[in-house]
Amino acid sequence: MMRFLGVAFVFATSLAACSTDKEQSSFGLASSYFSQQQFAPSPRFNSLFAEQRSVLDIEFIDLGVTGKLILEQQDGAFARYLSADLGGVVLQRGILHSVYGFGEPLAGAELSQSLSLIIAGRSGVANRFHTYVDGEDRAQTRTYLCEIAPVGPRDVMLEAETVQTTLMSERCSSLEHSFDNLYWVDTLRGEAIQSRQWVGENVGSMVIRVTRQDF
Amino acid sequence: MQIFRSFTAVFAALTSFGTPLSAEIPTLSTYGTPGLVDLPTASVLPDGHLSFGVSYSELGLRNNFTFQVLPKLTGTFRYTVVESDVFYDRSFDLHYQLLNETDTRPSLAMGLRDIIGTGVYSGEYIVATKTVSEVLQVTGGLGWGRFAGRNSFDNPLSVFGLSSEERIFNNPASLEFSGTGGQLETGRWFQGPASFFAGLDWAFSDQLSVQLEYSNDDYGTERLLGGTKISSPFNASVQYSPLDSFYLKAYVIGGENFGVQLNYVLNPTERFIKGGREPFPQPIRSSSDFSAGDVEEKLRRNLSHEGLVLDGSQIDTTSARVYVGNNRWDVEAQAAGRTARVLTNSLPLNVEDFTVVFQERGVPISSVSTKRSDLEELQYHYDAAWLTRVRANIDDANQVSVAQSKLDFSFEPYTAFSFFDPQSPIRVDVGAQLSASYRVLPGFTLDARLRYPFAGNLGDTDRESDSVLPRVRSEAFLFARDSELEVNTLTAEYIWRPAPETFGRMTAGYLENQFGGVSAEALWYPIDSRMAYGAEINYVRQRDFDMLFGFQDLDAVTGHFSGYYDFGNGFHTQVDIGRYLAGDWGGTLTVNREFNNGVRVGGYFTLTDVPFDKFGEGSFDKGLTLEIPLSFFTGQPTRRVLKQNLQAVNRDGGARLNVSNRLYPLVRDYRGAELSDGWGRYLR
Repeated sequence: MMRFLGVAFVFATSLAACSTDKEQSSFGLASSYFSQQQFAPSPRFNSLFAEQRSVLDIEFIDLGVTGKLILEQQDGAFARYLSADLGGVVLQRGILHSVYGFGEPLAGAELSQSLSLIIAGRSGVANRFHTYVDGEDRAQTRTYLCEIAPVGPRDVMLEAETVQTTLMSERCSSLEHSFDNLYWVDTLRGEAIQSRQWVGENVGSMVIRVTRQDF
Repeated sequence: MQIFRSFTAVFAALTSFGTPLSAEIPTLSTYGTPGLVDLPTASVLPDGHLSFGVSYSELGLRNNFTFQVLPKLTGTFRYTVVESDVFYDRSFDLHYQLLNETDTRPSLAMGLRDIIGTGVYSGEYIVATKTVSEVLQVTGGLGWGRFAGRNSFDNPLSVFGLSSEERIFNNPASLEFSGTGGQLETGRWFQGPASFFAGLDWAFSDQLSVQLEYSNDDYGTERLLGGTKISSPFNASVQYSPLDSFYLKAYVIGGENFGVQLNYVLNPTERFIKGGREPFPQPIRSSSDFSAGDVEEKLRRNLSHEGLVLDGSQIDTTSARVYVGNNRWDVEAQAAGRTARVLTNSLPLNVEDFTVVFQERGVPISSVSTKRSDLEELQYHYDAAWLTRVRANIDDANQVSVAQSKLDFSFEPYTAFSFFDPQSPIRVDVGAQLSASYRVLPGFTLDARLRYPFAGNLGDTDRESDSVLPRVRSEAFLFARDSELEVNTLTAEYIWRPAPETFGRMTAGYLENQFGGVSAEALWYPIDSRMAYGAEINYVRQRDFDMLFGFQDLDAVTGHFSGYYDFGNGFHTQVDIGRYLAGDWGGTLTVNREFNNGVRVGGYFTLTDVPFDKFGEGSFDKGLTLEIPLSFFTGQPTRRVLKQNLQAVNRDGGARLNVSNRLYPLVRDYRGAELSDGWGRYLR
């Protein structure tokens, strides 16, 4: 009986556990980890959601996971999109630059050669550099050689409009990996508004579509 | 709104079964080493990998922990329980791959089994393994000791003067065999008759394989206990891997003894959640959308969103210096990057130079200086990690502390463990713990920790200490037995910077659960050095067993000179030389292999002027340590670390005081080498 009461006390203590420092509280850490079950968007996301902003539809093809992100900041050619649970995707004129919190440690990419060909709708060969943070927190840069070619004009149906685009293909390879990307490029905007892009070896490829004022 | 769901959690679920293993994992034996059923092979695990295994049969329960210490060196710690006549045995193996396999030759390895325990399982071997097809590996070897229980012949190494005399094994039924155990039994290695062994490993698929072996271990020591039959020299097993990292096995030994085994193999170089689950970092703002206001309050609020505490700030028209405490980020460089981002967002655009001073317990440790323009320029650069590191300065922060008074408390459950008691291998108390910490002045902190155990068996033993030394640790169970509400610690602590690159600490009060007194320490640790030196001296008195406010008569002056060295290849060592609690003089050598993500596997031993026979069981103090940051599993940044020490025995020789906040571990994470090592996450 005493043992039962002891266990009951420990359980009650767990429920009553508290700390002035939420970062160090076991209960706080556990509840934040499992709180995905009762998910509520963060205030940071909600403040963006209240405004009229671009929305990014994404789908991880191999994993069958879809979702939407909202534009947090347009910084020149770079667009930072935020998910409701504070994951993030950075696009450079619609081409994937980096991801945060989606199971792939893509920290950055050097895309200038690919970008100039893709946006201009020209064929050619380009070098790409991807930097991944490895499991020991070290940045590792990989080089890919890519062949880029136009496929032809395509209409893309966005929720508010139909956009005339040029479909571009990009085939990249390195000693370890190879992947194929497709971009639907809005030449007026000078960016890809829809694409299928390889993220990394862990999550594979992602379909991305930029929509406007999607509310 | 529903569609804006938590889908990073989906990735967590998809990736949370384990870390991808960096290469093919060899089959592991019932002893936890690369092997077939009982026998070893010449394979090794991928470098750095860890294996946790449980193997159960009528021959006993073997709990194995294996670590690939170096690319060719494997170490295994084993805790065995034999139920037929209950006994517990700790043993340790080393396995070294002499040659790796090529197209034309097999891999070749030698090994020592049970080298430092009681010797019940002791045996030595030389073994070769060859992959003869994509699905078949064959193994053959020569063994001594347990490997030569039958069909043996004269020792082929007798030409080198080694004996062919029959080896006498310790009888586990009467573990009061000669000596106290725990020493290297070098005089027995490769002595006595030898036997051949052989086996094969047939892979039907990536998940399913079969092992067959011919073993001359006749389980003589187990048969002495009775109830064990070995009717055949052939053993067999079937292994199935249902998930990455998990290996299930069913086996039969000696034609009579059926068993099951589960191994989990961990790759410590890969986090469970690739890239982590930390929030998307705030943008580095280059626009002029800064709004005026109470700058310090704004800084404090924005830093708190990042798990950082603003202790103080000095801001002028072009530069800002902020003093922060890091409560969240286990990668300290990432904390520096997050702070820098907050500064770009919170300060006027004319503030160009940022200096982040990291503080622990209100004391400045190190500073990281960077420029706003560098952050703006490099934030999208593919090589930003390297470039931002080159442009940042990491300096010693030897300056006056800036910190406000602060009160923290927590009320949580706790657990306290004791391992390897011969009567009960695991003892545990669980209860409630109230901790409070009040920082009166920068560096000066009052701490208290009260505990109340609700349930457990830590004190449920009638095994009296037989120690002939002052009983500084061997009566630990009396503290658990005779206490209820426990004043675990109650201290006043002052940490300060007496000189550049130097730290000082003084602590007084109830320093740990068994001792109270005064402790003083100094540490010299240059910011860019891989080496540090420290000295510590303590006067302590043993506390009453009720763990309230009284003291017993036993007192001690104890202290050490310490040297710390980071070899730069993942190996860290610490040497402590001085006087221990029981008045014995000697030294402790600690060697850790540390992975850059914080996973740490280590071992230590202490030799003092206490003779082995006077020390008692185990002969000298030694143990293993395993630490894994919680973020390694969850992907969420936290400074919580899962830590377990496995001390072979809790005796009085070589015992040290457990005072909190020793300086080297307190400051090390913020010194130059450690900050630089995590820079890959600076902008993450």
